[in-house]
Amino acid sequence: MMGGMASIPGPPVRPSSFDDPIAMEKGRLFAARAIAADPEARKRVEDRYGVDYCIARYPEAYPLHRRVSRYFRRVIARIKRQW
Amino acid sequence: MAGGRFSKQAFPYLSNGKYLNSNNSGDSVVGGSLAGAPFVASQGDANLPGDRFILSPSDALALSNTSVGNLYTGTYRYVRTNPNSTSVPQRGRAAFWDLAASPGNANNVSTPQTDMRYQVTSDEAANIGVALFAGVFINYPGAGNSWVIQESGKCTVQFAGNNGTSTFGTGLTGTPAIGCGVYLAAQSSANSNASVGLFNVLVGANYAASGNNAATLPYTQIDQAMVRYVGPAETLPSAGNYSLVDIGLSRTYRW
Repeated sequence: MMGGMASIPGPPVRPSSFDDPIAMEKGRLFAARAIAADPEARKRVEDRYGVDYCIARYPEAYPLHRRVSRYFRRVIARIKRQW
Repeated sequence: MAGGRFSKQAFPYLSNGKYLNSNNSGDSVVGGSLAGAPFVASQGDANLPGDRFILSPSDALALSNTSVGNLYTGTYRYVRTNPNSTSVPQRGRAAFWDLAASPGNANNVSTPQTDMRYQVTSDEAANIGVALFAGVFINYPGAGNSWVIQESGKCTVQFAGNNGTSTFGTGLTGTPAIGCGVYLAAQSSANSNASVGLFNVLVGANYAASGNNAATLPYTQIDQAMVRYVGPAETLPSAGNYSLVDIGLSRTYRW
């Protein structure tokens, strides 16, 4: 349970001496909303951390990616079942 | 878990602007108005004074108004500012827990209703000075408004001194150096905007040469240093200018 973030997809959060999972989740959601609403903020974070990191850490800000991923997961699961 | 969990999402996108440290961003009502939010939100999403959250480096980057300054990783808290302070809250200056008895807004005293205001002031109180350090203002929220201050982590603060354009406080006591200890300056003059909530360095200062009685040094000065210490300088402090300090978690005592 890295920093109490087990339910959140994305890279593990470094445990800290100040391990307050609710406060950490609040901060993440806060930033996700900024990235979703503001192209400038999105570009700034993507340029520094990479798109993959942003999608993993802020999935709420990438709803299309989530839908597409979910679709392909279903397709792959169906293929596996047919095999 | 649910209480206030989503509360931090709504307010940056109201009339106050989309970034956390935009100027004049304070909420005139506690929690802010939800009108105009581009996302579906309810009043239950509103912030409450005392709410705190932790920003990772990427979180802080996303929430920075870079035209004002950068935010960095650390702990932040939603507080209310004293509407009757002499000075106004200013970016990079210290915020202090407000123990003022009038107008009944005291923290940690009186009733639970006043305690839960989590009210801070930009003024340095006459009786306790800078002892009740609460955090650092990240913008100019406006006295009486509610907004976020930074409690710990990598933080931008303003140092005392003359930066060549303006004079803030009475100046740096010691010689700035990267890694030196940073202290609350306690150089307020009648709580003027130019002197309250500044930061100072002490290393290299000659106590006796400043006209002080060396016999009083051990206890008074040591006590002041401990009460006023905020953390090590991450970048070279500069008189009258903004610089980065790593504020220790030990300073965040109110929960």
